[in-house]
Amino acid sequence: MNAATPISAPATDGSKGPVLAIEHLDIGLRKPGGDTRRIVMDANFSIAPGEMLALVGESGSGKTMIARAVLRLLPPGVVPLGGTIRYAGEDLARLDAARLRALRGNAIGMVFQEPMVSLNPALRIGVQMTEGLRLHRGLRYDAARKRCLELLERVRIADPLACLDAYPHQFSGGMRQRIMLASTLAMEPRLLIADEPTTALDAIVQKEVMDIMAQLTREMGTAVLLVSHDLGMVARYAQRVVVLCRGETMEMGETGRVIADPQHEYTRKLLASLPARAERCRTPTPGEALVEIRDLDVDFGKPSSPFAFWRKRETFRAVRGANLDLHAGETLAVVGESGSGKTTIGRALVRLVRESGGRIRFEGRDITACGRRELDAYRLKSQMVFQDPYSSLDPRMRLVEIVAEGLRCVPALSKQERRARAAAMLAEVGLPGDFAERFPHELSGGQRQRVCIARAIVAGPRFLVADEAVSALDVTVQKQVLALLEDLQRKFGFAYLFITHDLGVVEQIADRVAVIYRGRILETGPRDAIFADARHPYTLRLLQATPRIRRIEGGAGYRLEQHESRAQPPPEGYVYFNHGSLPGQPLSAGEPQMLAVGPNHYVACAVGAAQTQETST
Amino acid sequence: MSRLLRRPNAKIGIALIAVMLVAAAFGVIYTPYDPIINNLHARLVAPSAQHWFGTDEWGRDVFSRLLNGASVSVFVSFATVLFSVGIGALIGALTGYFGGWASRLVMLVIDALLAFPSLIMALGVIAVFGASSIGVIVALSLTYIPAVARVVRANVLSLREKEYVEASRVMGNAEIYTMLRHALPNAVAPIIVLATALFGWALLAESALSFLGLGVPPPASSWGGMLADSRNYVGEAPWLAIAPGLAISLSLLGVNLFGDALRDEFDPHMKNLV
Repeated sequence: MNAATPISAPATDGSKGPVLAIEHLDIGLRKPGGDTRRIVMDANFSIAPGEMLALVGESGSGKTMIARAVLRLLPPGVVPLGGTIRYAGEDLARLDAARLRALRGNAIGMVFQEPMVSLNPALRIGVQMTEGLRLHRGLRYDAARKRCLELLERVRIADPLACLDAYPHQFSGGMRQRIMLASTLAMEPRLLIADEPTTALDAIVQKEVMDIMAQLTREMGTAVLLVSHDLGMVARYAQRVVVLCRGETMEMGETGRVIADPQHEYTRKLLASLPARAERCRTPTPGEALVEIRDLDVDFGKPSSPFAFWRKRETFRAVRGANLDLHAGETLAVVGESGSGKTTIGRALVRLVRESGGRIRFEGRDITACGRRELDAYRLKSQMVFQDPYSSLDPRMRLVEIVAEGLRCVPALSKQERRARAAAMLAEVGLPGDFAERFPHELSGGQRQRVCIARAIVAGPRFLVADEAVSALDVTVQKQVLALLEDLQRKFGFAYLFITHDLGVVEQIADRVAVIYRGRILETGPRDAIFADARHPYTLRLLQATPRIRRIEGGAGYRLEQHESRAQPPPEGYVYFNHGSLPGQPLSAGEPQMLAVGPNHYVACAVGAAQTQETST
Repeated sequence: MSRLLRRPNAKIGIALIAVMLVAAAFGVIYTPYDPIINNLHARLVAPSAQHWFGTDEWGRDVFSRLLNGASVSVFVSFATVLFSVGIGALIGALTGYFGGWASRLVMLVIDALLAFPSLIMALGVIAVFGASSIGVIVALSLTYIPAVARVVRANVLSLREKEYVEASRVMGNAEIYTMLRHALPNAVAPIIVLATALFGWALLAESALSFLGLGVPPPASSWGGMLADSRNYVGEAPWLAIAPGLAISLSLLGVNLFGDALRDEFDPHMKNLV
């Protein structure tokens, strides 16, 4: 590009019509045999300036392929078969390489899913951010730098000047995604393609990034093509939505209308699959808990040099002074963002990590200080279901062998008996007959998760730790697996410790909830109390950040729901415990106290005068 | 295996290895002439119908000596691979799976061994054990164990974090069972690839040691030794150098082609590019 191009007028004429218009787009996947399978069929939509349109669908729906086709960034083997993609009236398929390069990153910006890998770790932020401006606008480095500073300020990076001279690893995922956004928007693109931009981020950070993105693009008049699997987020931010299933457009229209009055069967199914609050909510039976966690601390050693044999390793405390009870037959959800220590609690419970302090009692017996034989007995009573269905099954074993392994430590069972019980359990979780002899790679994600569940329950445990057990699944599959978990609980009566970041899932299945942040449990209580009457400001922020879609009472439609509960002052003489969960407020010293604010409802507080709490929301 | 055979390189590799193995087998069972006994009436005879590859300065049939040398080379290389992979994999798996200060100490020693040039170290070991097949095997195994241990350890380290390994631990399976049943078998692919590479290295190193007079002691034949003996007669009897030279290069080529094909087949990153 020559240097004379003005900064504020990035693209060509045709400013009246839609920025992006896709007509009859077909995309195919070339197979090694030579034949082609269509993975996107007859996609039609257009986006006006300043509008946000969302492509929504489950995995394999072709949503990402459409977005990539716009930039002609399709993976090898995937080819456009027909139809047109027009950017401001210009057919993108006919562009020569030079013109396409001029558009990419200039008039059409892109934000990718993985903030951790989309910035080059070897270059300073300033160098990467100014790259586009220098290339496409011919700006000098200092002019480009000024423009970047401006943008970093607008995406609310605390210290923009320092940011330009920093390296990507110095920032968290949310910050990096903001930086990505800033560097993309610095070009004032007319079209922004955002492919699952916040999927890897925690709920609160996701809301911050999406708020900024929606606001900036509206101000700049940038059209946004949002690709997402998350209907709640789409409902909150996108004006129009295209619902895709296996490459076909199922429904298209204004987001509010599509949700309130879904026309297509698939849209209805998708909406019905969203987690919804279940009616029942058991209150724990008073008396002894099945599992009691008392003052649990877990430390992790930071990696040190292999030569430092003599030096004491530095440690990081992942869980600090956790107290939790799990009662027989109930579902306790542990909620928190990544790095909060929620997984560590679960792993300590099944003895995958050692605690550094505190006690875990199971049926009254201390399992942190028991011998090998007692531990073996305990392991039959406690089991775990893992998050990633693709790495939790040994790829070289048949399903029946995998499940039968769960019985290996049961005394006095012959090999035939083990296999028979394993096959029966596979049938129980919905994988009957010849599934037993298959290998994991022949199964879908949902089916694999069923195998994991079968393996975990085949020996008849008293409780299961489910670590993000449905997070990797599409909503329709997630719904089935959650239903299976509930059926099994009703039938066999075990308790669940359900570890998740997804408040929707919590609302559907939990009886009680524990909210954890950076190793500290901040609030525990019955599900309804937490959702209707959250006390700790962090819990409240978490609830407000999670967009939820609810069925309209008595109707077939749905609507986006804003969280309604209000901030409440802490008990007299206390302040809410703050160890970083309440930004901009003084940190609490010492240990938190769990104060009762309702039946079975506790919140972490610290001694102090409660004066300025109203500012916390 | 059938997929492997579709690769042309693999076919050539397998064919060359087959020739080498057949030659080695003949070296043990039957050779046209005795490879050791001198025949001073037929010194330095050029290749002919009677002596396919000619005879050497002692009148021994070069073809017979090649066959005999093949069995020595294959035996030494195979034993080397067996020992170094067996011991190296065990060290790698144990240190990778269990970790802790003991394994760090072991890896420190392994890394120190890795820093020695392998041939120099082999020379040192042979100086202790004496020049014999066993000496060569011990020396070469020692030099290759660190490489195997490193590769296996790296793989087991990442496999240990796999959820199916954790699942096995949660079930109450003994750690050693979990390691042997779930961690190590899933590291087999890189081990096999490494083993083929090692076979090639060992073949070459054995020849090199024999060439230096530190391998299999004369009068037993070995390819490297034959090459060494041929030096004085290169002008008048070039076949003495060409025959063992070709045998070494072709065997090495076969093993390497096969190893590359195996690696492409096992390594998913490479596979996508083919």
